[in-house]
Amino acid sequence: MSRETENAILLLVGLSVAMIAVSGAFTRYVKPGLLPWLVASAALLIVLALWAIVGDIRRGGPRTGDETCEHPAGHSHRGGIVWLLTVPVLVLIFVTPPALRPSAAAPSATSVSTTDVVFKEAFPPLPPGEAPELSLPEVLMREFHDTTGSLTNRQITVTGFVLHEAHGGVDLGRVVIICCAADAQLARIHLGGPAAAQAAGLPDNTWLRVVGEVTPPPPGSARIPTLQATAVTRIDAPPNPYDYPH
Amino acid sequence: MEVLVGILLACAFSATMLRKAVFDSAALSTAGTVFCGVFVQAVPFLALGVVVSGLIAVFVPPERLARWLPRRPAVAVLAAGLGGAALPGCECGSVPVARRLFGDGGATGAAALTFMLAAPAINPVVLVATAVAFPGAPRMVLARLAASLLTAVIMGWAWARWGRPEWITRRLPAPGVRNQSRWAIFAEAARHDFLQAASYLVVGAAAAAMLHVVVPQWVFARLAAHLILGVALMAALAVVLALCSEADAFVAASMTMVPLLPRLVFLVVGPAVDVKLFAMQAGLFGRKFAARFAPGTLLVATASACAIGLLVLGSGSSGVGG
Repeated sequence: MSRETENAILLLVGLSVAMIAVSGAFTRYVKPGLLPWLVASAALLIVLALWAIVGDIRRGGPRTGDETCEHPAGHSHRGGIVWLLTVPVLVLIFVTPPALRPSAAAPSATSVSTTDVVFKEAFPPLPPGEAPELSLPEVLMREFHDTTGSLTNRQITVTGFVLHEAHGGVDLGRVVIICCAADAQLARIHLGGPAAAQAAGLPDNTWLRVVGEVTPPPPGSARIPTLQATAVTRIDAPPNPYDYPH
Repeated sequence: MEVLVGILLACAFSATMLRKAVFDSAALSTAGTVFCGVFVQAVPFLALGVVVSGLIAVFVPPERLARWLPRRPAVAVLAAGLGGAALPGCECGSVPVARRLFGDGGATGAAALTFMLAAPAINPVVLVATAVAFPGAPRMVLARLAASLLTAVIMGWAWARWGRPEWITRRLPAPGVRNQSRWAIFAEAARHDFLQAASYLVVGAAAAAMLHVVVPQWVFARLAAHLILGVALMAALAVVLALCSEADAFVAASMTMVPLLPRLVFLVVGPAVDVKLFAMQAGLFGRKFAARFAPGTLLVATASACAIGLLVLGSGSSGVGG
């Protein structure tokens, strides 16, 4: 592979990272907190590529191995492999795969931070208000690890998508990622109560905002609590497709 | 260059069709998303890694590094292992850095390999993440630190004892003519290292994406509860999933059906050897090297995680719910 092509590919990798950072598509793959780092690394790659391109033009043609290399015989790295970098460029720019579907996330009984070591601590009180907004992983963490029982007898609002169970029940689900799409897990809570029938009538992956009260799972059963829903509202898909435990 | 323009144009024209094909197939879109996830997640760490390796090319030629390191190789390896704690980041960044430190593999070779294995596993960011993921088991952090350090040091000593320079078939381009400016040396080294490491990262990310789709999720849920099967399975899983070392603790924490000891194996093996690291090592050091180093690391990492796990976590860790 010629040096110009290498530089062009380096530039394209930088541009494609910059493109998904600007368009917001990067939230399908990694957590939003990575944005400044993505921008910085895109800038670094673009600068490195432009520097090499401009430098080569100024010298009147690309430098060859003999000029820069003191041991031409030892210069044995093969350039062909760099062609592979066109794959992420093409996938990121032209395909931009969608956010993970729930079926692709690892089925986790409860949530990311549920360990078998029973660990309890006092969580801060819920935000004030009639039915404060909580993320699904936070609801599960409070349900299992909170000593203050902050969820007991409180109405809360949770956002997620409809997830029909094999045996007929209906769940509210959310895909949770820690670093990137490769570690995605599925957090879910059963829906019960008066408004659950409304959710059960909707197809999978419909986004909902549910108001209700959490009841713990019956002892000895699967460790999934139930949200006794009083109101179910259909909403548009949120801008961040995933939820994040921290 | 013409080929590149041709590929780009062809893809631009068929973009709608490609996109539709990927969006319509569940397996393709999952594989595509996981591929992008692994690649995009690694880019900033790789960028940090090549900045460090560029700086090394400018300021730390191997002769100078050899002068700084303790004279006796065994002690030098130990120092490099502890020095790994100073590079916060995950494993993708440490391969190009280690390749620069490795140089021609002389006096600094073993120390550079130890650094490569230690840095992603025992840096403060990863240890804090582990402590957060296992709030009820603080010994997990200690066990991870000890087992990863032990793995890195053993592999460094093994290289010093049995390593052969002829396995290193990939050489770095020599650092150029002497009158080059420092910036020119830095930019050339960073550019070269990024292109090489990122190309092999593509191979690794693609392998991880494929395995995500092919290996059914229930496999490890069923088999992992058995201790010895669990250890083997979790080691294999760490290799194929190719998770970032800052995230693997959370994934391990969520596998509640698996005893603590196999999960420790998962945490020790993952940052030391997985499919994307194997591809990157093959690219930067050479295939002969990677084909010997990676399986060796896998065995040593599994063994030292088991030994340290039994010592630190106790035999109670082998039962479910421990």
